[in-house]
Amino acid sequence: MAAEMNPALARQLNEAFSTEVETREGVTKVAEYTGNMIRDRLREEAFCHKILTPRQVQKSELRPSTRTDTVFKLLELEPQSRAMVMSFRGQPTGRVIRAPRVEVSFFTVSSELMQKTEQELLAYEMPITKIVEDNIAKDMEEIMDREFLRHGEACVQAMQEEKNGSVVSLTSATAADGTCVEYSVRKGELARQDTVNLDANVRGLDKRDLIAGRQMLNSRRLRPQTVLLTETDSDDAIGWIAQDIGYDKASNGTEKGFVWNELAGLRIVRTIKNDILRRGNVYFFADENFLGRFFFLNAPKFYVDKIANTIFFQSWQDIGMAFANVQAMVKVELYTGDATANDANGILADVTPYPEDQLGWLNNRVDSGVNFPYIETYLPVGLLVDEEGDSEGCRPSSFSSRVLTLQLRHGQRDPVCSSQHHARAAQPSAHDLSRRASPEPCVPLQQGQDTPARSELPAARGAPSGTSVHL
Amino acid sequence: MTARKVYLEPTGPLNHLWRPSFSLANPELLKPSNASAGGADSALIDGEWLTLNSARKLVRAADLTQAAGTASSKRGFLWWEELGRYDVQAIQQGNILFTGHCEFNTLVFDGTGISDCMTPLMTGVVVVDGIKRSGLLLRTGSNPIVGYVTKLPANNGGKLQFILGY
Repeated sequence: MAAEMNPALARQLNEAFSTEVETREGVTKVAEYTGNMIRDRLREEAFCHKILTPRQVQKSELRPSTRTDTVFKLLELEPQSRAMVMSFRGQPTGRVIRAPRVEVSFFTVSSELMQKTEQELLAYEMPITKIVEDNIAKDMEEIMDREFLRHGEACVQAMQEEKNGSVVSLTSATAADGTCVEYSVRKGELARQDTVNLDANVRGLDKRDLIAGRQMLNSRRLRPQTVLLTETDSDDAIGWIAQDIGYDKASNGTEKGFVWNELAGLRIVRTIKNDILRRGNVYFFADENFLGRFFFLNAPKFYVDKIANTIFFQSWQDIGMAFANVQAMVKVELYTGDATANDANGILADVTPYPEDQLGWLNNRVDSGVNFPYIETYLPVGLLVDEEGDSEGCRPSSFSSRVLTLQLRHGQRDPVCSSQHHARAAQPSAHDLSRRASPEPCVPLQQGQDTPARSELPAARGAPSGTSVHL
Repeated sequence: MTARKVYLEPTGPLNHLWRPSFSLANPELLKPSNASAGGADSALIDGEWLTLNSARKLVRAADLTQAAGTASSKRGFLWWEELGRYDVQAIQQGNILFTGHCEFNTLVFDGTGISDCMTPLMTGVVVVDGIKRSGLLLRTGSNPIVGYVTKLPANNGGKLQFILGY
C-alpha cells in the first residue's frame, strides 16, 4: 500500500514547481510521489514497442527532402532471388540485383500544452503537475499505439483488397459462401457460426483462432511470433476447458486468471487499451525483422515555461514507423460484421480505434456529480472570520474539522460563524446557503491564530472572492 | 531538378498562433505526385485556404470545380504545410493557422481589383502557375473576410502582403 504524502508537502511541491520554473534552471525532478489521490484508469506502456523495438536514429542516418525541411530514413528490404535445375549444358536465367527501399518518415507525437496559474496550483493537495508530467508520457505512447494500429490495419486490408481484386466486405456470411477470400483477415471460429446476425458483438476467442492466425502467416513462409489482443478477449482463455489447454493451465487459469506469456507457440501481448485496440480484433505478427521498424529521433522532451503567473508545460517525441512487409501481419476478427472500408453493417466505428481527440478513457463521474455518498460542499480548508476579524464564533465544528456552520443573526445580511450552533442539524436554511451580497473577504485562520492579518486577502484571479458555504 | 518554391512566408513571429493539426477529408491532396493534377485532387501547396467539413476534417475552402474567381462562402484558414512534406504524408494530417493574427507574403492570390492597402480579402478559386488553387481574392458581397492587404504586389516583388485573422 502506497504511503500517504503529507498534504502540506504536496502543496510545497506544487509551490516548488512554480518557483523552480521562475529560476529558469530547468525543472528539478521531484521525488517519486505516492499519495492519497484516487487514480482513474490504468495507464499502460505502449504495446507497439513490444512488437517493433524502438530504435534511435542519428542525424547522420537521416536524409532531407529536396523540397521541404523534413527528413526520412531509408529502410532496405532484401533482394529477390531463386534457384533452378538445368542440364549439364544449360545456363541459368539472369537477374540484375535490386532491392526495394522504403522511406520512413518522422513526425511528432506531443502532449497537450498544459497550463495553470500558480495560485490555482495551491488548491491541490496532490502534486498535480508531477502527476500530469508522469501521465503525459503514457498518453503519448497511446498515440503511438494508435498510429501503429492504423497502419497495421491498412496493411491487412490492402492484402485483402489485392487478393479479392477490390474491397469486398468480409462478414461471417461472405466468408461462408466464399464471396470474400480470407487472405489476411479471417473471421473467428465462433463468429463463423453466426451468418445471420452481422454486428460488432464479440463472439469469444477460440483456440482455433490462434491456430488460424498461425496458419495464415505460415502459408506465406513467415513464422508467426506474436499475437496482440485485448485483455478482455484473452480472458476468454480462462474458460477454456482442460481438453483445450491441459489440466495444469486450466486449473491455473481458474485460480489466477490469464497468466500465460505464450499460447500456441505465440508470444502474447495483451493490452487494456480497449479504446485503441477494440475488442474482437486479434493481430498476429511475424518477427519484426520480417515486418518493419520503429524509430525515434530523440527521447521525450519536456518544455516548461512561466509567463507572469501562468505555468505552461508540454512534452513531445519525434518518431517514425514503417510496415515494410505488409504480409507479415494478419488479423482474426471475433465479430461477424464487416470491418472493411465498405462498412456494410455500420460497425466500423465500433471496431476501429477511437478518434485521437476522444482518447483518454474516463472512468470517474465526479464532474457529473456521480459519486457515493454524494455530499455538496464548497468549503475552504481552515476557518472563516467576519470582516471585523471577530473570531468569537469561528471555530471548527465539533463533528468535523472542516465542517462549518453559518448562521444569519437577526437583521444581518451576511452570515457569521457561530460556535453555539454546532449541534444544529447539518441542513441549514436557505439564508445560510446564500452567497454574500458583498464581496467581503473571508480569510482562513492560520494554525494558532485567533484573527487573521487584514492584509491576507485572497486574490487568485484578481478579484476578492466571497465564500459560499453550505452543507 | 525542380526548384523548391515557397508560396507563403510569414513576416512576423508565429509562436502565438494556434496551429492545430487536422485530418484531410481527401488524403490524395497530400501526394506530391498529384501536384499538377489540375482538378479537385491537386496536391495542396502552402498558402492555400482550407476549411472544416461537417466531420471536422479539412477540405479546400474554394470549390476548384468552379471557375476562377468564384468565392467560397465558408471561413477559410491558411494551410501551413509545404507540398510533399514527409511528416504530413506519414500521419495524413497537417496544421492550419487556426487562431491568431500575423502578416504574410503569399503567391496564392488573384490580384484583380486589389489596388489599395487595407482592402478586405476573401477566399475563392484562383489560378497559380496554371493550376487552380484555393486562394485569396478581393472580397465581394458578404463573404467572410479573412484578412486585409498591407502591401500591393507591384511594390512587393509580385507577392501579396496581408494581415491574417481579422
